[in-house]
Amino acid sequence: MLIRTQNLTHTYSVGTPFERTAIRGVDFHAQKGEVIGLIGHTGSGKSTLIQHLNGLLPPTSGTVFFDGEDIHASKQTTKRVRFRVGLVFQYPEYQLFEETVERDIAFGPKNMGLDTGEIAARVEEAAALAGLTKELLQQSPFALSGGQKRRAAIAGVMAMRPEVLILDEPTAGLDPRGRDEIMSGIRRFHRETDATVILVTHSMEEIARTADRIVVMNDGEIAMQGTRNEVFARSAELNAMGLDVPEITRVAMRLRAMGLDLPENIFTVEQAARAILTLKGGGPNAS
Amino acid sequence: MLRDITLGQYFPGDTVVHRLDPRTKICMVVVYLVALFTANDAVSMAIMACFLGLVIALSRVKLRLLLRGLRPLLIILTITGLLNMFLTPGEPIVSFWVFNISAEGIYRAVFLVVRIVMMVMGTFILTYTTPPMSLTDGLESLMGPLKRIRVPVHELTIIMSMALRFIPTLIEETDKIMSAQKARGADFETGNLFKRAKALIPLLIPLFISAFRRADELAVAMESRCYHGGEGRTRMRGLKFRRRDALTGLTGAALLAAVIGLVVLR
Ligand SMILES: Nc1ncnc2c1ncn2[C@@H]1O[C@H](COP(=O)(O)OP(=O)(O)OP(=O)(O)O)[C@@H](O)[C@H]1O
Ligand SMILES: [Mg+2]
Repeated sequence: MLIRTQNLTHTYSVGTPFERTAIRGVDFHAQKGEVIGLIGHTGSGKSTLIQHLNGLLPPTSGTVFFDGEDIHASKQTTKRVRFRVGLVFQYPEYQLFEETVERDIAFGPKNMGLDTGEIAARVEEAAALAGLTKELLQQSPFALSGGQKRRAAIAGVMAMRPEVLILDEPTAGLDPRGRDEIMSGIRRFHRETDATVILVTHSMEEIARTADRIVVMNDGEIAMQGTRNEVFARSAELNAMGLDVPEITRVAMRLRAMGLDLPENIFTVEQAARAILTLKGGGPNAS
Repeated sequence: MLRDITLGQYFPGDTVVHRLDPRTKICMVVVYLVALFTANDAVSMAIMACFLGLVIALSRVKLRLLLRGLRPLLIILTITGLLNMFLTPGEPIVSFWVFNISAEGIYRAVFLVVRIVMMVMGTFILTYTTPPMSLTDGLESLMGPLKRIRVPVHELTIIMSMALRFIPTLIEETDKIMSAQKARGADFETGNLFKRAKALIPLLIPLFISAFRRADELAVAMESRCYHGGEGRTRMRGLKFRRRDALTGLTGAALLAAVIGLVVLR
């Protein structure tokens, strides 16, 4: 187990009238190379949970383990874990500050104390993974479009080559094209580095397309987890938590109810198209 | 965490103190401060302390919150205390090296520290129990007469209310950017002064950019709702004096009279 939390609880603003327990008794775990989709309604504690995984928030009670070691064992441990667990915040473009995109991406590797050659190699690699062209690297980050800024910020974390990459709603507020570019960048990163990816999102389609395992949070607790088949099969419970199954799954469910003999595990448009073509006779290659 | 800073923050509640007219509260703070600086002996100070205690009890503001608000002042308090203790001339009771501590010195030190603490607590009760908007409404109304001599009262108060309104937002923003840069290995806590100042760049640049962006957005939002300054502007919630305000005013007058009386008669 690469990351594990044990009975993790976090209370904000302890001792003021604004005191609020955001997560309660959470036992979360992630294996090496796994892609985990973390979903839950607004305010269910997703962002709070992920900020514990790289030691940014100290637990109110409970423990976070990375590679079997308590990440708050010592200051050095926390610092080391911070480089091994990369965290991309919501709207990460607001953290850009350097004169050029290249230098901004280099900020993380520089803090790791790497030498110039290594830094340059990592910047190039991360920019390619995030889908940034060479010309963009020399521009000011503030001159980029929203989607490009977002990718530059994500590249800044990828450049640290984290063993775990956590992204908090990386596609929020982008157009479909921008969303696709970000998501394919994340998939590329996963494919090439075999890192663990934890993806927080409100888009069931993205989750269905990307995640090996889905973790559902509800009111600060983990309400269910499992493969997408297991989780999306419980659509009534998801609805009760203010969540939903992917739209195409709903369409398939309706079609099935109307008597069409479709399989139960349809989560992406491609799967649906294939299943319907098969049903019509001939399979995907027959026209 | 940074977010737990309580400066200028309002803690909702429903007590007599919360419900008082903001103008009454502002005037009371002025009266309280005048009385506090007039009080110069143990008896008058004790009266002030009783009054403060009463207000704290009535407002149900937690003592812990008030004390936490004092934390940034700790250094000033310590320095004031020490300087007065050592530098007040008088019959020394303890002396070592070049320092003499006299009874007068100790008395003065305690007196001044208590006075500063009470001053800060009193003003904190005002901001803890009054929403920023009522506070500025109250100020605008109190400063109304100044409009005659062409002081742009409305503009000044709207600037103030915006500043107050954005303090929590900016603190939250700072917190967020700091976390994001920390996740990239930024270190804000160690190193010498120069290193620390340099470490602030990745925090300050995004912060300024977002502050300007916010200011822009706010201006557009205000203009699109036809804001054009204070002229002819009416209020949704007018301020109104009630009986409790009159009672409070009387209490304030009595307090001031008592303290001045004590000082004069001595
Ligand atoms: N810094 C903070 N101070 C106080 N309360 C907070 C803070 N951050 C979050 N909270 C509260 O903790 C709860 C969980 O918030 P969190 O941001 O973890 O939710 P989330 O699942 O990420 O929601 P969203 O989908 O809207 O991003 C919320 O009720 C929120 O109001
Ligand atoms: Mg969130």
